[in-house]
Amino acid sequence: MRDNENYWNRLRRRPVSRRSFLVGSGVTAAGAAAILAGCGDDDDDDDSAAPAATQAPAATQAAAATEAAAATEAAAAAATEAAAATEAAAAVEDDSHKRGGTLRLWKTTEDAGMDPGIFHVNNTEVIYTTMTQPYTYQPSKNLFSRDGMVAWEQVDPTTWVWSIRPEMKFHNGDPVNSEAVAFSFSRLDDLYEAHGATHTTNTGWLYVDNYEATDELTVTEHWKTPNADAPIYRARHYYSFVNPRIVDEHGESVGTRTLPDGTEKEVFAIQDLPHGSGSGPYTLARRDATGTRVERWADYHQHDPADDGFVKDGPYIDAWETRIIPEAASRKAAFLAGDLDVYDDVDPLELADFEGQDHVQILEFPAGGYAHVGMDGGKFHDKRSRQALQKAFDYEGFIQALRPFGGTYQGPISRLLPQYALSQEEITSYYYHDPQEARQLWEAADFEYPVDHITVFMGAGNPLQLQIGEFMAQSMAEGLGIETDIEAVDVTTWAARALERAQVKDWELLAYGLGTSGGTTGLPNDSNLIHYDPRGYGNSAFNHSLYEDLFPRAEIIEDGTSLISMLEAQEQEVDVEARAELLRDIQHWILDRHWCNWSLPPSTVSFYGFSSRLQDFEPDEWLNFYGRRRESMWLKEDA
Amino acid sequence: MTGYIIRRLIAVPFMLIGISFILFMLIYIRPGSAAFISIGSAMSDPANIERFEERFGLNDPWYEQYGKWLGNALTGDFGVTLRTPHQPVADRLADHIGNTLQIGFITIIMAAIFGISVGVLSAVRRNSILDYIFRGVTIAGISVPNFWVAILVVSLPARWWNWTPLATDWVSFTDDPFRNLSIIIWPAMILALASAAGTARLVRTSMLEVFYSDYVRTARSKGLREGRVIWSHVFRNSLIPVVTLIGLQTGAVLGGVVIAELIFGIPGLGTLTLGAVIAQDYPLVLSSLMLFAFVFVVVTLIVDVLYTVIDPRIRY
Repeated sequence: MRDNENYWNRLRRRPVSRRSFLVGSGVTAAGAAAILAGCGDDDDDDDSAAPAATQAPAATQAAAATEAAAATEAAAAAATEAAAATEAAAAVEDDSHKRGGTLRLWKTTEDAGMDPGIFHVNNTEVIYTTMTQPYTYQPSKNLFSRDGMVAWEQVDPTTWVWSIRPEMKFHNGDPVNSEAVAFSFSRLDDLYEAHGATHTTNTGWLYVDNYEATDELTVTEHWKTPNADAPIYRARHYYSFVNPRIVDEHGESVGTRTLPDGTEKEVFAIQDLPHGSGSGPYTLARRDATGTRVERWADYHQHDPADDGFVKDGPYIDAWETRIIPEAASRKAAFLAGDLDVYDDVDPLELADFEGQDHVQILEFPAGGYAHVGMDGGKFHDKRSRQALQKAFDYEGFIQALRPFGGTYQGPISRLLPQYALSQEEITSYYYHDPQEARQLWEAADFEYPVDHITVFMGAGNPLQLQIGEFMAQSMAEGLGIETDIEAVDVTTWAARALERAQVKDWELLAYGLGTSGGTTGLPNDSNLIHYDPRGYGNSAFNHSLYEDLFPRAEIIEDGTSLISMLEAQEQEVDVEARAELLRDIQHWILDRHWCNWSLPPSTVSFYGFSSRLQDFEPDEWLNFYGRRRESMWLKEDA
Repeated sequence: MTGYIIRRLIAVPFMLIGISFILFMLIYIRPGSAAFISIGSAMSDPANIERFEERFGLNDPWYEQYGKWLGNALTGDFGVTLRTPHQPVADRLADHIGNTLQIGFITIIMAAIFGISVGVLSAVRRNSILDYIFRGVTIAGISVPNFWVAILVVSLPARWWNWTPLATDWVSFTDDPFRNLSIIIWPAMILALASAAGTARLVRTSMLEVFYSDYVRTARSKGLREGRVIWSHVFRNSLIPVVTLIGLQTGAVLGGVVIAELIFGIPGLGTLTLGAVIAQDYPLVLSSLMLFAFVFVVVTLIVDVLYTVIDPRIRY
């Protein structure tokens, strides 16, 4: 026998038949599949049970009547009533079955920082859970629920007094007192001046002159002018209570601001959220390239009595886990697989994908989103040219083509704030399709820079955005008989070219927004008005350099100045009726001037997806983006 | 040979500097500024934007910006990210590169193993049913974009069976090797599909070219067993174009990893780079792309050296 005549050599010499190869491949594939399945996700969270529910509009049906300043007292009373009801219910209900579990969320990218005073879209779930804010606000109920503040009072139009919840402490044991709260509020302006990367506008606090720690648990705000939106703004995450000692010991310098006396003040931020920064129900357990995780803090203060959305002994859910999932198809897959508890807005065209999935709930809401078209003010400085563009657009055709669940006309303030919004009749008296009139206006208009071609410029990535742009281009071509095209670029390039400081832009129309999302924060500014505001998005859409000394245009400066004065007047008007009247006048002014931007019809309804195991989920709080703070949510493990 | 390797190694830094210059200019001419992204708003005070640009030297002339970056990079300092909280770029890269290299390495190994095996079987059993099946599969593998396959692999099981191979519970290899591999294997398999298909077709073609050459006929006429003829004479002599292809595929695989990481939610260099591109965070984009370039240059060098091992007649 030869030395090398063993099993392996015999096997090596044996010819491989087709059959044996196929059998071998099959066995290998099956084995690999079994191993992978064994290694795979053994998460047994949810499967069956709860029926798929496409529920009728519930929360936002009543559509928030929100004159905030005047409503504060009523809201506080309602909160107290709700608290009493909750307390009574709690007395008879054993809620132990609600405790536990991990809420699983997603976000698209890593957050860039964690300081609540600096603007980072992707950090809100951590800020809301690890920090305390004065209160939460639910627009659809017009309800303020007490969190860090137990009472507040507008003493006079420019004085506001806060009463801080007693016996609160930060995660490192430091007391939450009036000095900490006054420091937390006043640092917002410091950060804005020193760093710049703070929240979208400083109008949320610009009216405040100073914050005074009156006694251990009282903070008094002295305002320069009255402000009607102030109470709602205070529910936002940047009004979180921050521990001054942590900022002092661990803060990173973000620059200096010049004080009125000419001295420089160094300003510090807590971008890494060191332990002890906050006093919320959870602490930050992990933050890395895969996402974030917050876990229950054992010493969290009691809410007794607990207002709506809060629980006396702290939140039911043990932890929040937020995964980074950049790709939309992957997010949907994770949600359908039961690996996520909140999906967010569901594109109406994709609703069918969610049908028949027992563990998925889709709620229907009135849409509060916007779809806008900004006009380059350098080219369309003559009102008639803007009017021509708006009359060339086929509104009804747009609704039929792109709003499968119906569309509605939208004025400068969303219909979700009915106390301010214009009626459909009023809006359609300005927005109607008349190509003949459009062409006459176009011919008569004065163009300093001739327009023989219209480019509709938009961000790429969303199919619906492209469809909106294509419809716009086609409508302009048919209505005005002019050559049109669309240009879709990545969002960063889009923003850069939208903001470019030039006498005329390299686009004519700037398309943005889908008009399919839901909700409102309860503020007119957030509910569409800011897109016309020369201090806000109105300046970028229309061409902000035209307001300034860089490329001044007399007619735009004049109109812009008038509009800013009107906007400031309504912000300071705390009487509900008087403010509503001012806001209606502003909207008519905008529509009559065909000012800077126009709203394409948004969808009538929007859809929101979340897991069936999530109970007492209040989509209102998630839709308005600034209020994900509901401690009474719980996870039904057998759902 | 040693001289050749030394010459190539000396050329590497110059090549990388050239690449970095081209990449910098491509980033520089792009409209916009990181300041807009970092400040985060269309309504920011222009003074704040100017302050940001001044702080990070973004309003310096291009040659100063590039010179400063290059000077620091040569000393191992890749700067800090422009996005808050302004972490060192080197730390960010170090956090992410392991996962990308892991996927890339597994992909290339799988592509080579499956590509060569299928190509050899296809050539040996040419014009058989097996060959027809393999040819069909390889054409499909080359034709179908792997991002689309990845989306199908992630989405369809979720819709049909409420399960998805998505990395919703990511763990590193050091923490849990089995769990980590069960996540990594999916993007690696999908990326390997196209690479393996290309390799298989090239192996088959190369082997068939060699099959009928004189020295193979001579080997057979000497009475060598068919297996010996195939492995020692046919396969080895058809390897050179295959090794070249596998080397070139490294670049494609690195590009594919970016997409795979996004779709499978894996925190790697691709996800990091894409986020940096969106944020116009040029120190991070530049350093990350340079890392890709460095890997590709090194792999190309290894491939060139491998030629001499496979075919001793090759001299540099």
